[in-house]
Amino acid sequence: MTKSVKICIAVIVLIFISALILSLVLLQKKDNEYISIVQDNKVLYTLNLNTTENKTIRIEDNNGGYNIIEILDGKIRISYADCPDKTCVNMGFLSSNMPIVCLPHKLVIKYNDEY
Amino acid sequence: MMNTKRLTELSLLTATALIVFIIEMRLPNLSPIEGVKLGLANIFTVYAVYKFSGKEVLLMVLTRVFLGAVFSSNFSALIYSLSGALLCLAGMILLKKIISQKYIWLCSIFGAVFHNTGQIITAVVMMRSFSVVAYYPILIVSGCIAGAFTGLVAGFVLKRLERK
Repeated sequence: MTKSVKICIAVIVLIFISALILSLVLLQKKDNEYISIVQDNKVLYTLNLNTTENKTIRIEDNNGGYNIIEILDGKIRISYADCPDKTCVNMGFLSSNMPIVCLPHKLVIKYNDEY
Repeated sequence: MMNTKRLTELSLLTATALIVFIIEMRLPNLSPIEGVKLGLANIFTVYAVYKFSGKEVLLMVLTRVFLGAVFSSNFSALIYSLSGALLCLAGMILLKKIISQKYIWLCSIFGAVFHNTGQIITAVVMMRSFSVVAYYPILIVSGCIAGAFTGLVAGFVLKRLERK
């Protein structure tokens, strides 16, 4: 094993362990009330989930694509998207620091610390 | 000038990589998080990095990424696959100089990390928002595991084909 290979292994182990710790922190359950819905770096809504009644919001992007956001009993998710991969729908309800992201429609739903 | 034998080998590799890509696409997702997947088609990229010249692998990867977008009819994802694949390729071609074929899995893990880095940078630029960076750590973790796997497979293939 050459010296450069040893350095590479050390680097990758370091990257892996720090990424593992960070992802565990990010995936921790969070139960915040305040969320914001952001599209293309513009904040469209900031909501208090505990006081918002159950409803659905339709959000369109500039190219005619859309997402349906559902707020149900103090939780929020994307219930429908007209893109082919449906990744954002499969992510389910927002529950951690990992935001719900719809890449094709530039849509982000994330927790806020304050209103 | 590329000779016919090499061109045929490259085309065959590209075609096989595409078949594997399409089969993997049909399998249910391992995780609801975008980008967490095995990336089995990368076995062929890693293999080709150690077997062909940088220019040849670049041709192969570009063909695979574009045809992959055609077959999956998901063109909005093209910029992400392209940026990931190109950064991954650039990184692996550089690392090949210091990592011998015996440690091909190590090069492949770095390739995966570069791949995810390229995708996250593209996502930040496209979304004009840093919130996607929250996905970076988990992509690195899954990428390291998937990269080790694809790298090991590529290593086995190289060994088997050398014996002939």
